[in-house]
Amino acid sequence: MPEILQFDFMLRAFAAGAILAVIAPVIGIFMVVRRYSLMADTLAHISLTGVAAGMLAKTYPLGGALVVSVIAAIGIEKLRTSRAVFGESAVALFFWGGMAGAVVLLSVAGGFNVGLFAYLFGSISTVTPRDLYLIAALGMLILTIIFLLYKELFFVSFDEDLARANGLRAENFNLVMVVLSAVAIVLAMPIVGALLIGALMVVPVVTAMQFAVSFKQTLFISIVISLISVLCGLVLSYYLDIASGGTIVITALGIFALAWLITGRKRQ
Amino acid sequence: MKTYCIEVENLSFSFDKNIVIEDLSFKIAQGQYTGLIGPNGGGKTTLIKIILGLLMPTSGSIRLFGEPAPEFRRRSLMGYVPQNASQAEFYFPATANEIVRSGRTARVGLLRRFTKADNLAIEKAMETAGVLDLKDRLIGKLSGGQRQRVFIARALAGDPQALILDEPAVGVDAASKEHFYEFLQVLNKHSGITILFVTHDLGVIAREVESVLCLNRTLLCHGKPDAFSGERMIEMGYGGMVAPVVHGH
Repeated sequence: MPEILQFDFMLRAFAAGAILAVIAPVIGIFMVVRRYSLMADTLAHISLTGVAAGMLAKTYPLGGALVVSVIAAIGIEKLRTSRAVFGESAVALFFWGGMAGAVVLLSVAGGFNVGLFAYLFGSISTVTPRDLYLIAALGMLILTIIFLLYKELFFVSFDEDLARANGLRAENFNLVMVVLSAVAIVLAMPIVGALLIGALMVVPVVTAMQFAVSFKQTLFISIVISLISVLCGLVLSYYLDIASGGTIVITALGIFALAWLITGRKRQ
Repeated sequence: MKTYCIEVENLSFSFDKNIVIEDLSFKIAQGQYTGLIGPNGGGKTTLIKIILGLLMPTSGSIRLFGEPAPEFRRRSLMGYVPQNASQAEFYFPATANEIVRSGRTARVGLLRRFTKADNLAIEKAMETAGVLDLKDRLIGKLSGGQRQRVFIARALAGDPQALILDEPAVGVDAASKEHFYEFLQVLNKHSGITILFVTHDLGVIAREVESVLCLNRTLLCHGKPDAFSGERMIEMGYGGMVAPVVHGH
């Protein structure tokens, strides 16, 4: 057996990574086509506040992050649809709020520490058995919900007005999507890190769109790209001793560049 | 008793204190082919959005297929083909088939999968709109005319009894336009689908439709197109009676 598979923490990282690699583009594709890319980063910053709160209260940091980011996700969607704040500014307010909240809580706690660094940039050694159970359980829940609501989510994403005109409660589907994103982002935080989660949701999808032949195939290709990125990234992270979030995202970007070159040649 | 597809009574709509539609009343019988004309900002798109339930009227009421609009649940009976100017579709990685299927979503219902009968209805809608051979093409790779027919197929996939089309021929070349109008005639005459059709093309109104609604904040005329000469319609709809109103989106 190769050395890398002899450590429990690596097996946990691979298992959690594989689940996340599937969830991230499944949610990401709906974010990308709706031009919600900023939302992922916003929710990630907010979940940092949750992590900081969890650390300060000496409880489970991911639990804190889940509560805070789901509440914030609902708040963002309500503020956005109320049109009280212009366009994406509603999202931006939460983006800064999340970061500021995290900084304030950390100052209270006495500054940055190694634990937080792992949540910022991801680390293969952070995934505890408890994290893995949480990722597996909530990951399955996310995939089941998206599978069940796929046709409605597709319809609302492509033409929200028509979906409403047909009697669909588009606002409810938007809310489901944002809440699921918030959960997925929290789950991805230990491995990919809060600052790079957005990339795992967006880059494989944008790469797959270069080969797009249909929505379903774009989704399928982006899952494959995401899986390759996460698994290669984890291996690189182990052997080179680099933060896994960085290696995963650099691998994903490398695949994007390659795809761009290939399809660029075809375009000519 | 005659059943009406759309009954509008004393309808008004204001947006930020600007009156967009004022005291509008008309009826469209089932199976009727109606053209809706009027200047930009005259309230046409707003009226359509109110009929579709996307905007709530400030006052007045609407009945759809005899039911008060707020309680009307069979929304997919009212097919809608939006303006063809949207840029959004160009990058959206979906095929014509996937887009047409989405038009049946509401009819299939929440948590239910497409059945064989649904798939047949979807294929028939594509066949009727002449886009079956385009079904595996990406929506962004289609021409304006092809995309428009895909959107009509999407509306037909829900088995509608009425079609509302908002300037559907914009961005479509002349030859496709002719085809398109013939196609609407067939839908109306053979399938008995009620059509409400927004356009700026007065020639089309005179030639194609059975009834005209001319809207500029309020209803300026309503009747058979031959009752109005083209010039008179232009005068009424676009001439001296144009009022400064703000369009509410």
